[in-house]
Amino acid sequence: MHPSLLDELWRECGAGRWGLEREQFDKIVLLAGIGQNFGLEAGAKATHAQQAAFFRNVKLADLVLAKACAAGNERAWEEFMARYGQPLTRAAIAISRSETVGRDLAEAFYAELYGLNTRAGHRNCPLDSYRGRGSLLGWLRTTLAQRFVDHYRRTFRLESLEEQTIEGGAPDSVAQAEPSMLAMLSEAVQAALGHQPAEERLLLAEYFVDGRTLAEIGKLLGVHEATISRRLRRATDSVRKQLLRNLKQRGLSRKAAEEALGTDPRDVDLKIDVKKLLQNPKGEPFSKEALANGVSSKETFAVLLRSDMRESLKNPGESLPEQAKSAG
Amino acid sequence: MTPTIQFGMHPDADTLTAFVEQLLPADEREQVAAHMSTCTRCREVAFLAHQAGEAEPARLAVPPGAAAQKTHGWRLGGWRWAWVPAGVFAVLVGVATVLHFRHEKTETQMARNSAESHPLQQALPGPGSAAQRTMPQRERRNAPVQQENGVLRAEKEKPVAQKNNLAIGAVAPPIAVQRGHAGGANHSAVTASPQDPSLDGSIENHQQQSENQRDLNQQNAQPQQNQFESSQNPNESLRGQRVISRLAPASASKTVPVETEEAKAKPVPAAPGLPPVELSYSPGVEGSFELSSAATMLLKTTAKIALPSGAPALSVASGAGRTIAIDTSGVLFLSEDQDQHRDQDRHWVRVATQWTGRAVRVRNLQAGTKDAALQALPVTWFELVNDKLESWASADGKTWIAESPAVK
Repeated sequence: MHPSLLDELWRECGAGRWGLEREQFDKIVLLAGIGQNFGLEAGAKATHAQQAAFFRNVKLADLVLAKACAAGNERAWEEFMARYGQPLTRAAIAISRSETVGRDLAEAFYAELYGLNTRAGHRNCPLDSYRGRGSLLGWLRTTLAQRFVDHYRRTFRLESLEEQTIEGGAPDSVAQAEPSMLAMLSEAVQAALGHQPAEERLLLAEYFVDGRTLAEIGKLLGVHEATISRRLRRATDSVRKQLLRNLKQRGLSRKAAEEALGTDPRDVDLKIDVKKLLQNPKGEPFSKEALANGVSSKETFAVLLRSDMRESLKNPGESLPEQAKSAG
Repeated sequence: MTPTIQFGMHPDADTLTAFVEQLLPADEREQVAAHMSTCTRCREVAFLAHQAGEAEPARLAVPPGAAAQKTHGWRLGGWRWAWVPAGVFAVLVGVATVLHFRHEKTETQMARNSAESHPLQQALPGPGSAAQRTMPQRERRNAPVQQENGVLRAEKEKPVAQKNNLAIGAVAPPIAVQRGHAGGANHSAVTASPQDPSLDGSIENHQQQSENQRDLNQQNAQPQQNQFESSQNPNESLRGQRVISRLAPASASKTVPVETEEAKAKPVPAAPGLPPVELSYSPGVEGSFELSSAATMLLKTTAKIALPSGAPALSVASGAGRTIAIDTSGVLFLSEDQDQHRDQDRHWVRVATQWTGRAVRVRNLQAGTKDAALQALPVTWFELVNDKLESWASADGKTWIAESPAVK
């Protein structure tokens, strides 16, 4: 790296304010740049401009602080605790929705961050994995959320299956489909979803599977809830049309295809692994409303989406387009 | 993150954070969204992390870039003109605050000066406020509102001042001669007479009315009472003296600067504990004023006396060859050097404390009195008053008994 770039980064970073020495800074920056190859493919050599662009796109101040903490710099830890001590505890409480659980979660995370866990005789500090792509505080929140979700899933598996019984039966209006029809329907759903852009599929999953509100999805994706509503409507219509088209391509008449949309979605996924289904934190794959209003095309589509999501649980490593390919 | 959980399947915390913060490039965002559409765990993690960020105060949640954008929008947006009324408002508030504190400071200073003033003037509150009496005439004319505030403030302080003798001076006598304060300036101010038409304002009238309402039972008292004379009159209690003094017409006082001879000849430094001496006056002819001879004498006497304690004399009384003085710390000294005419050469003996509280005033009961009974006393009696307005009497200055004959 060119010394002038290091000088510039040193001035912009302001790490000297909390006591980091210039030599340490240079070392951290160099290691961070080389570790990620300045954002380039492995083996590519970064030019001076690419190096500068790389550091412009990362949260350099946060990155330096995190790396200094991971290296055991006491001044960095003081700065870290002053900056993120309270926010981290509040985030843990917000994530767990419990004061007690949140504080426990935060304290355990502090200990982990400080490197109390060792691996092969070396301190294992999670901050070392921070790469500065997002803010350090956001990274801390995300990591806390991961800890909490993983912990929840672990303890969730220990609960008895009796508590996870699926209530409700198929309404009379829902047609009883033939097994061949069900298989055809399952393939058609996966293919229809595969035609949707990834973010639209995420929208559908957030709304129909996770039950998030439009406002929640809008905040997560950084758009207005009205935009989310329009995009959801477009995605729903698009998937339904594609589904009918797929069913007709498989030899069904339009009327038969529309009747197939009223199939009890639970019949579509009879082969699904129940254990994997129960690993879903939501635990309720079919909403009562969707089952009760199975004759409605929109709700029926929602139920079908859920069945599709359940299908995807069989192969958690695969994305939907790949599944669609394999189905095709 | 734990590698075993996310190995080969889930985006790491860095990527999820960048996704939530909308910092990922489009192609990578597409990949993450594709994964999240099938991964309940990552959706839950992203949702919880985002929710926790929303719960955080805005100052931490807003990234630096967004803050810069907002600042930019503020500067160039429609709100920029909001600085104008906001600035004007801030300036007005600042000016009002400064004026308020300057006014407060002036009044406080007046009250403090008066509180430390000579005990002889403590008993006789005058018609005007302390600030009114001690304020130079030019300022007084230019600040009618402050005068009124000063009056009201002085009125409020009266009960407290009467309760605590040290604060009696907050209700100052009609004439005040100040010297030696504010950095040793020789500038003195004396409350002046009613002849100046510019001072016949409604403030004094208002105060006079309120005074009269408060002391209806004393309506027949003398309208103008020389403080020094009143203080020397043993037939009147201290309270009575104050009431009578307050009944004096408010227009009978005004403040004029006076350069006293003493101040000219011997500048007195603003030493701590040196009380400003305030004395009454005798109104002259056609608005000219001069210090009464007794007041001038007392002023000179207290200034010249050098007590063994080193503290300045607060109150001095003489009679029958004895001179009794109280310094500013309340210690009483007796001098029986009849032959010494120079106060500096007197031999002072400290008198043991036989009273409670802090002695603030001593006087010769017979001096200047018109009471025949007092004049007929065979011996000269001195009266000592403490800071709780309790009095003791002594004929020799050494032995003090509670309650002076005057009170009895």
